[in-house]
Amino acid sequence: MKSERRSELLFNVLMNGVAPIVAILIAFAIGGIVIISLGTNPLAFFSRMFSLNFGTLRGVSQMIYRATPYFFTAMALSFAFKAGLFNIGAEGQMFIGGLALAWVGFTFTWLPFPILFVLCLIAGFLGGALWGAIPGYLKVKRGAHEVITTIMLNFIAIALVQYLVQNHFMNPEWGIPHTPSVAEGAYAPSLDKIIPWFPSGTRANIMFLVAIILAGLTLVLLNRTKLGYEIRATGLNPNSAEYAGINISSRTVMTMAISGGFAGMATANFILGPGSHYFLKSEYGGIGFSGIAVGLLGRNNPLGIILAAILFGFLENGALGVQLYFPNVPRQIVEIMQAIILIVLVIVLELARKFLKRLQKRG
Amino acid sequence: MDWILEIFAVSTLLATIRMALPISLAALGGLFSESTGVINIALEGIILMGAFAGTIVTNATGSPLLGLLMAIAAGLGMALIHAIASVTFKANHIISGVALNLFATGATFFLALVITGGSQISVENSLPKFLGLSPVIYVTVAIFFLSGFFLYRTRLGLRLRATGEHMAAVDSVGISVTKMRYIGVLISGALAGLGGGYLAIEQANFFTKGMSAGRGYIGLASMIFGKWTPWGAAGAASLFGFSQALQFRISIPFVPDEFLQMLPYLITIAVLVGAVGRATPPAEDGNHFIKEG
Repeated sequence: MKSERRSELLFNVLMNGVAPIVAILIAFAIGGIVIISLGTNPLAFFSRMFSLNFGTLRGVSQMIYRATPYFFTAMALSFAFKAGLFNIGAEGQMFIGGLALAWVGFTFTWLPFPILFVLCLIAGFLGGALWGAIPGYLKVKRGAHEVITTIMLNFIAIALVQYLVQNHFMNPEWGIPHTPSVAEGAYAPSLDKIIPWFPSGTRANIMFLVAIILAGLTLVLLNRTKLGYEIRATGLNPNSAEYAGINISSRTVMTMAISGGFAGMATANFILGPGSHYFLKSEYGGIGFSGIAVGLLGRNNPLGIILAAILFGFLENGALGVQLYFPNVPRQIVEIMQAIILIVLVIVLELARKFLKRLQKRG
Repeated sequence: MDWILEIFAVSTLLATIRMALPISLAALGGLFSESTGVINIALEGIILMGAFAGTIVTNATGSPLLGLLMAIAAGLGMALIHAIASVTFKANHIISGVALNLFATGATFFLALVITGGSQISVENSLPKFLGLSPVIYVTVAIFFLSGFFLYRTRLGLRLRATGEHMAAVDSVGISVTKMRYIGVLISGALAGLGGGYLAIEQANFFTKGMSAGRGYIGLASMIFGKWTPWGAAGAASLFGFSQALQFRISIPFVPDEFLQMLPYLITIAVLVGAVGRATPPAEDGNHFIKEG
């Protein structure tokens, strides 16, 4: 009994602690080597990045703003994982949800805050949920693997959103295709209006708190409700779940819908938060795909995902700011590092798994 | 009614061939990888890497041939990482592919900025045209013939396909599953890399960030629509190339461009759900080989 608990602790420490940290360190090391090769001191580079993010509350606030959307697309991946489903369609679900929430925001303009704001979030959730439910339904009814259908639906969503914005929502005089602006009732309050000591004038907004609340609710849903139990049972072993009387078809579709719903709210940070207040497709590309890295780095745990999203926000915000000081290092260095984190992480996780298995065999 | 004539014009046919080429190479690459049971969605990133490496080497050496070889080498390099992660370390094939795509997007943009200061690099030389088309197109046709023969008529080809259908059986007769999978993945990288090199050096005459623009995924779609056979993949790639050629050349009344963009993906889903015939992937697609005992 005691040794069992000890091996579980070891598993947690290795898989959820050591592996992500090793992946992050290796990514920083490789990033550092690249920076050296450009003739820049990587310690100066990274410490400047650190002080830009953590040196002032303003920096923290900007970092939070950049981190928030990653939480939502990462949750899309990880929630589906709980039921053993691989949703790599967060990109498309994000676009459909984003257009849906913008549409509500610029259509029902007479509604006051917070009614319109909440309706926008619900619309985003439902838009993403619809786009996520389709691959769930196709898997259950026709046996189409969700990996391929979600990839294909990403591109269908991108083309569909582009068509709708350009032909139905856009004023041709605008040049850049975007929707009309959402009404004031849909604005997400900036964080300094809620947390008095927070600096004003940054774009960090209430969506970060929404993310934290959703992380908590998701933990409750998964661990304390019947639905959550059934979703996890479906993921652990679909056959025995079905034998236990769980309708795995309906759980599959529902999980994919909730998963897509998370992604559908990702752009609320940009559209409803302080800034332009309209849906601008070109601004969001890639957040859905990066969410895959964030979700895995967060070890598919909502709280871990918040930390992982903050790391990605740290890198992105730092890269934007550090350019002023080191113009010879293109900010895409952080995209390379994010990719390295992901690939090293999956390898380290496998090595840790092998190591634990060997340990178990030895007794 | 000019648009109807335009659909059947010779220039549209030529454009179709040009657009279909990188897609068909990606599709064939995906086919080689999946015939050994390794899913390769890194094709998108491999095309991008091939396009970038090919551009840089063509401009540095003045030789488009060396550029194309470098594109193949870059594809091999990316595929090697995919094989190490997903075959040797048994990482999830999809995650490894996603990571490589993110890497290619960031790394090519980064290097383009470091080397030239801009995100677009024009290519100075391309191969002399033969009968109005790039020699790479004839080479690709030959590759398809050879692949059809190789996969279905040679010992190694049959072993590759057997690995995708039943790994344990392949292992039980003393063939290394790992080796077969490395071969499949590496061939896929070389082919998609060549597709990327063609795209930048022979077709566009420039490299620009993100220029693969979904071609790797359309290649996957072609592979599925073509039911995991070389000629099926070539046919599907031609159809999707045709729809791309139409987008660039004409506007058909009542059919928005965006609908043509969606077409490959819609057809793929239709095939997967069995609305347009059934497509069966290799049985071991995405599985890991774990030796018992």
